[in-house]
Amino acid sequence: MIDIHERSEKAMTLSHKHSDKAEIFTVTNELLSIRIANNRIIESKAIGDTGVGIRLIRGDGMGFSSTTNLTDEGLQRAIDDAATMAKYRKIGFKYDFPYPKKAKPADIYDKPTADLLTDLDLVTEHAHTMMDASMGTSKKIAENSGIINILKINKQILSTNGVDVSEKSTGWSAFLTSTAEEGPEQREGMVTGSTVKVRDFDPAKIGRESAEMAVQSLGGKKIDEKDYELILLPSAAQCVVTELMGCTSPATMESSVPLLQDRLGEQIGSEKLTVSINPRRSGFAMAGAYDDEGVPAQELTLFDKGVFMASPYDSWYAQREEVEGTGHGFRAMSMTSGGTVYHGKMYHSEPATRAACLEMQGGEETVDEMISSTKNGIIVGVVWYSRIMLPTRGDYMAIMRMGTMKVENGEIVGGVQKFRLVDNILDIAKNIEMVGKPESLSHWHLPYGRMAPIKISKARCMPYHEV
Amino acid sequence: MFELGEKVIEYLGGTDYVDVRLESYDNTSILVINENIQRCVTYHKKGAAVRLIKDGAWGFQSTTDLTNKGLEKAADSALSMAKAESTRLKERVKMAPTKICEDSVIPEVKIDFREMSLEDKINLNLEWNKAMKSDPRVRRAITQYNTIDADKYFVSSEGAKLRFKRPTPYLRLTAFARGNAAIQSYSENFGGTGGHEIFAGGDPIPVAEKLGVTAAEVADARPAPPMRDTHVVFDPNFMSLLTHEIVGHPSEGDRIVGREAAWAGTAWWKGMEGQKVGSEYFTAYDDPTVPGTYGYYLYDDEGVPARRKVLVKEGIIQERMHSRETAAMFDVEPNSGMRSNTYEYFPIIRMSNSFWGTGDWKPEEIIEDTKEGVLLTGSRSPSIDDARYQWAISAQAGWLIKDGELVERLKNCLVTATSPVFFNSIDALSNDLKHGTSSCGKGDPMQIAAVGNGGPTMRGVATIVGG
Repeated sequence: MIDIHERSEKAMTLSHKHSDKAEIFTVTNELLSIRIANNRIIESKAIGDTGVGIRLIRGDGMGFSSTTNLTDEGLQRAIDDAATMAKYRKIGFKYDFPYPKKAKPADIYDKPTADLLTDLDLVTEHAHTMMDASMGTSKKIAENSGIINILKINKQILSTNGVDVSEKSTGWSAFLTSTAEEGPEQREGMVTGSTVKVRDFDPAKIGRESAEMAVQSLGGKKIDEKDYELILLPSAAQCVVTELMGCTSPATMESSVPLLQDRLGEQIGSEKLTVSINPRRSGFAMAGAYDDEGVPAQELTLFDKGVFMASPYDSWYAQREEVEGTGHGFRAMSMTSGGTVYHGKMYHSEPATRAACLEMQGGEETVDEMISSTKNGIIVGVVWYSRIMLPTRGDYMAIMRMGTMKVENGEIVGGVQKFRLVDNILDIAKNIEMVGKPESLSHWHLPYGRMAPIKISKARCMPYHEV
Repeated sequence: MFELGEKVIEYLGGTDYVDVRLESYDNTSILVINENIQRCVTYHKKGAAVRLIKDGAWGFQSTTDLTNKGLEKAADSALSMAKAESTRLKERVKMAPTKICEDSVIPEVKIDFREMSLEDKINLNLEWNKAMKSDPRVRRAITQYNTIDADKYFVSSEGAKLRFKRPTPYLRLTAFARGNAAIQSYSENFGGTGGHEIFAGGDPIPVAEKLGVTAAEVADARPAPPMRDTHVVFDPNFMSLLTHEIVGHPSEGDRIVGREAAWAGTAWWKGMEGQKVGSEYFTAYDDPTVPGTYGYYLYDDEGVPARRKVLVKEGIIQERMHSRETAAMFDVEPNSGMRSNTYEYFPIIRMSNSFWGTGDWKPEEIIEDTKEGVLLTGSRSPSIDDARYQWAISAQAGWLIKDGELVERLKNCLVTATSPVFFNSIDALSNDLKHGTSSCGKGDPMQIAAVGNGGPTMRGVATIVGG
């Protein structure tokens, strides 16, 4: 067993000779995945990954390197690389690593969840419970696919500025996609779940609800091309809102989607749109008391009643733009747009600003109230391929894939076929009319968070022929 | 490295099947924005993956601990997973037989980035970045450079013994320019297996200079008007994404058997092998053996010898991309479709270089033959139906075609169609095949694969979503 604290200390000692300042980020990620398809478990697989990311300041330059070789020799090679880089990569402004600040502990570790990493029988049992609950819900359920991921992260951040943070966290995430069949028609339903603690894991509920969504969408009719009222259930709402939240990051504004550039303080969405990020929220998988630079993670309101209030910052972007850091420097895969390859911390990336753990402020309305107030609308359970297609203008597209049901004069009148939402992301934000009660959600392509069902007063929808 | 793998196989004596992958990666990434080095990182990564079948079930464990003890622990973990899974097995894993090979593959490299100093790489990136700003209308020039030097070893209990060195450089140039009314960007990607010769023969400066001018022209262009069911001509850069999304993905064997149904989706043409789905101009391949491409390899990550796969021939569906497991399900020979991102992951079926076959038109002849339509150049973002039946892709720019001539530049071009209708509408295909460069995300945990998809200039019928 590698003692990551001892290795971090060693890296710190070795880096003294080569730098003015050093920051050592060491992490062990352990992940167990049980994959389901064709109504059975098809694979059990696990990742064990330990590495260190070393960031050095030397004169007016900064360098970063990482390695999985935690021997003295391996660490030295990474330090040498980072020091060489610092010679050529000039910072161009006054930068320093963060200084230590104490954060209140966050409730992010659960031993029974960690123990699941080696309790294959129990995880296998959970997978079967999800499938059995789905199959038992209706005879129309023909197929189930999905996954259970169990994650444990042990991270350590040390710096010459005195930061010394050790944090262990756990999480699980799971989802099941159920397919219902009636004659030649097939409809899907999907439900996700995630938290820090396995005691909150209810595999039967996931299975039952995904099956119910699939069965309820049967009898799908094709829609006409026009504007509809849309009721997006939390998973669908999360896809749409996440696209907008991604635009708040200074790195995204600079490199790919400049939609919100220079628009701080502007009314962007409707008054119903209040969204924050809260990486330390108890119960969020991937949460933490500290970000990946050792800065206490903060709750930050990005949109308050539709007004663009703030961008999240890591220390580098904050100091470059001469604003206060917000404690949102996370290790992600991409240097510009974030994103992770698997559920864990990426030691091989420098910290980058990331809007992690989205939390939509809930409203009072229930989904039933949204339905009863709808004259001509559609309910959507799950959205697929949600993208800003034209980044300078904000043209947005997504497939309304699962749980699609037509609402007329306040009542659900039957299922509708899949269709495409084609509208502008800013117009969608402006047209948020009602917001319901938030619930915890996760999926591999979305930040963990809490999202509410939302109703959009009008959005352009295009039908397409199904197979 | 082979010895380490063979020791694991020996340790797991009595197991039905074992393969061990031992891999190392040396990576450099440089991000330059407006002649400032924004980010510059290296990583050194090394680890092993143990994949096995015991009592008809898969077990998989990856590790960065390459000591004997660490590898034995990984082997024990993989074995315990298979055992847990096998107790409730509904169907035993079967793998189709393959040729067992011993080989070492070392691709040709002309301008070797591995022999360049970091300083040289940084200076080149600064030059390329500066070249984009030769047009004063360019407000932001972004250069993303990445090199991976992979060294992979594969051993199996069947006796396979393979080594594959894979140097892959990647360069993305993006210019943002301000026109009279708006900002627009234009990008060009280079990537392949080899050295810097992949970047326009080693000198991307003329491309970078032209890119700045193009971005400025696009910024001043008028938005594409809506045009329903019109002639569309796609350039090879657009074809790269189109082929990937609507031909490559639905040809993956795991999608066809429903293993990706949980989220990525299925394939609308499942069970239609031998049926006609497009015009005579629709011929497509997947071929990892094309030297220099981004998806190049001679053995996949199951040790299967690589070969060209004919996916569609003159509109008729031929073969699918397979793992040894899906090949057994289809009762065909495995055809080298399995890859993993790194040692951390269980391999999955991936495209390598999926591309459209060529025709005998010249690109300019296709334009001259078009009475009315739109030429679409480059690609931005896709939004695709989960069965790959209906698709939408945004282009980087376009030209309005009238009476055989390019009459006006267009921006904000978004095109959509239904796959079989589009495949049947294709009526002109040129001889200017180009393999593009992109990354494909698939799987859970998600894996990013380098793919060299492409095609020649092609004409068909689709709808331009204007605005």
